[in-house]
Amino acid sequence: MQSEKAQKLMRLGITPGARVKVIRFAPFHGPVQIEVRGTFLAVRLADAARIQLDLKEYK
Amino acid sequence: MSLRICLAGNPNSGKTTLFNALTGSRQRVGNFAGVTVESKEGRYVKDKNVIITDLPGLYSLKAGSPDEEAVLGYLKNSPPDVIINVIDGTRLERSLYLTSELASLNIPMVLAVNMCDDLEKNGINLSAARLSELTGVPAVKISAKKRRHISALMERAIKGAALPSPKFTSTDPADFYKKAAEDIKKVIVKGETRAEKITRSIDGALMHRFFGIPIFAAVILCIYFLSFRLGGGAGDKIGGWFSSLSEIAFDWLIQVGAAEWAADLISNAVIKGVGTVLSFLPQMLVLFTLLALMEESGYAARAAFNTDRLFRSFGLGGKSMLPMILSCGCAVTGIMAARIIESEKERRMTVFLAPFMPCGAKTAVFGWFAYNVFNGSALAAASMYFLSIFVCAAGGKILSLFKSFGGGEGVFALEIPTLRMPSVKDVFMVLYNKTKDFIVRAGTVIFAVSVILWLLMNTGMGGYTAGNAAESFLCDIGSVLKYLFRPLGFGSWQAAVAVLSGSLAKEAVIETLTVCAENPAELFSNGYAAYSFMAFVLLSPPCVSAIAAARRELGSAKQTFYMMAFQTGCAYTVSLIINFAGIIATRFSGLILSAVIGIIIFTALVAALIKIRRACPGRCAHCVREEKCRRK
Repeated sequence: MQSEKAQKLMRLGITPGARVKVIRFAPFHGPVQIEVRGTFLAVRLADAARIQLDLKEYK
Repeated sequence: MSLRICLAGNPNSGKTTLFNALTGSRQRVGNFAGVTVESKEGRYVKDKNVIITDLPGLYSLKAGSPDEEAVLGYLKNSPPDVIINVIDGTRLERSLYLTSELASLNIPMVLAVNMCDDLEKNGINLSAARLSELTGVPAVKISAKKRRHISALMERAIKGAALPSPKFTSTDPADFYKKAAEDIKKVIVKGETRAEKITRSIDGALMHRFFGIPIFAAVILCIYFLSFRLGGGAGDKIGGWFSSLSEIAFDWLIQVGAAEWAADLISNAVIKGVGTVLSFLPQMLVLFTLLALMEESGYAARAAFNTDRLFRSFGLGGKSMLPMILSCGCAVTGIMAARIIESEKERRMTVFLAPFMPCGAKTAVFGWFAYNVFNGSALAAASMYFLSIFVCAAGGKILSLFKSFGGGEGVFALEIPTLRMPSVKDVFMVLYNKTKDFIVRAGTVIFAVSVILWLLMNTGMGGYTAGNAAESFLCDIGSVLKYLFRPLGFGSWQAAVAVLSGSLAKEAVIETLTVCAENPAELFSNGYAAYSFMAFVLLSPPCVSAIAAARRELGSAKQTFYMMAFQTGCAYTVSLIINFAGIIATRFSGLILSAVIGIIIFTALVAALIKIRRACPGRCAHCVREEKCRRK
């Protein structure tokens, strides 16, 4: 992933090892709402797709 | 000697609320060193020697957007004496990242931990002492909204700010968060607050997969309704008062012996000019209030979340929807609403495209045409709406080819803040400052143009023309310009002049037509020509008030000029196409001159477009043409 974009996400808290919880998706393939370190963020699917996740629990 | 303090913090941290509490209503809005980023400055109400600057909300100093660059420049070149870092106590972990970056600046700091009332109400304990230990600077818990502990904060800032501990500074987020996670647990053990719980349930509806958008549409309609109907209605009344006032003034002035031209100038240009500016006031007030409410409550982010995808297909983003819809009422309100868009490119594109929507004035023009030229057919007027949507989409695609608009903004990551009740004081403050700003800036422009247009319309080679338009300078100008409009089907001086008068207010188009020609409908050789005229009125640059608003939002006269050039180009092209379709359809002959001029202008436009597109912008960061780039 391009380092500039990665840096921006990391500053908001999406760092390697962070716990990311998916809350909901927007209509029509819009952004996804996630919770990271206590903050809610909306991230576009194209960018979210490039965050590699280890799926842990799916509630 | 004055002490300079600046407020830095994340967006939604309550920084602005604190700023308002500290400076009262004495604020000055300006720009950071030539950038279009707003800066606010004020003096501490309890000590006039303390100057407080509010910096734009940021997550980091390094992200490279105009906001962040402007702040970094400011902090490096004219560093303040103290930084008050406003932190949202309910988002401590994320907030401290900026703190760690600020720490590397080596400027004395104080932490203002905001939202402490929220934390207390929910029994969440935040230890200011431990936070102080961790960062090396004093930490004061405050509630900006409830105005609690603010004096204590300022005392600390003025007398006791400290340089942050070198251990706390950081430049790498991954690094920082790893180290901070454990330390932060000692400062606070965060549970969910009541506000967050409520937000969670309401969000179920606001951001619902199916209902999210309809709810958004309803909100927009409300805003539109209230600001245009309510505000516009009041505005019309005010316009009416000034119209009557100007008539009374005219009569009175003549009575007391003033020359006719002077009376005319004062009553029609001056009084009516002021009237026009003030007639916008109610609309502005309602709009600003509603927008501020939307932003403060946190709804704006949710709206963007819902509509983002839809707008991306036009090269815009979710937040562009409101300006577009508002422009159907009045482009001035639409353009001002573009403020809520953070991305500078999107904001610019929205401002460029929003005036294409048929505003109230334009609709009035269409109504007149429908009645007087098209025998009352509603189709002509209604079709203008579709035309505008089409041109917006097409125009958007064209604009996104250019470096100033295309390429997107890299990562779209928007914070969805907790919903909260907007504070009346803050909304009022915003209202007061923005309105003052509008009246001063836009007002002078509108007023000046009003006078100039009056001069052109009412003076001619023989001096004052007393309303006889055929002798005015405007007519002389129109007689030259009419050739430009020949290919579009309305190459008469009356039509040319009417279009020009539309620059004051689109309604003036009808007024001018009726004043300059006995039977205006005859100015148009056929229905296509009339339709082409309507399209030109629709798409050509908006009235001065809107241009003034655009100048304010775009930040530079050059950009405003580009916008007008773009809009004129689109208007000309579309009108040309319509008229030519008409020529072909009615099999007109003998219009070789029109054809030649039209083709030349059109080709010139296309050539200019191609030439500009070819030019390599030089900066590869946001370049759209990655595959075709020759530099690689």
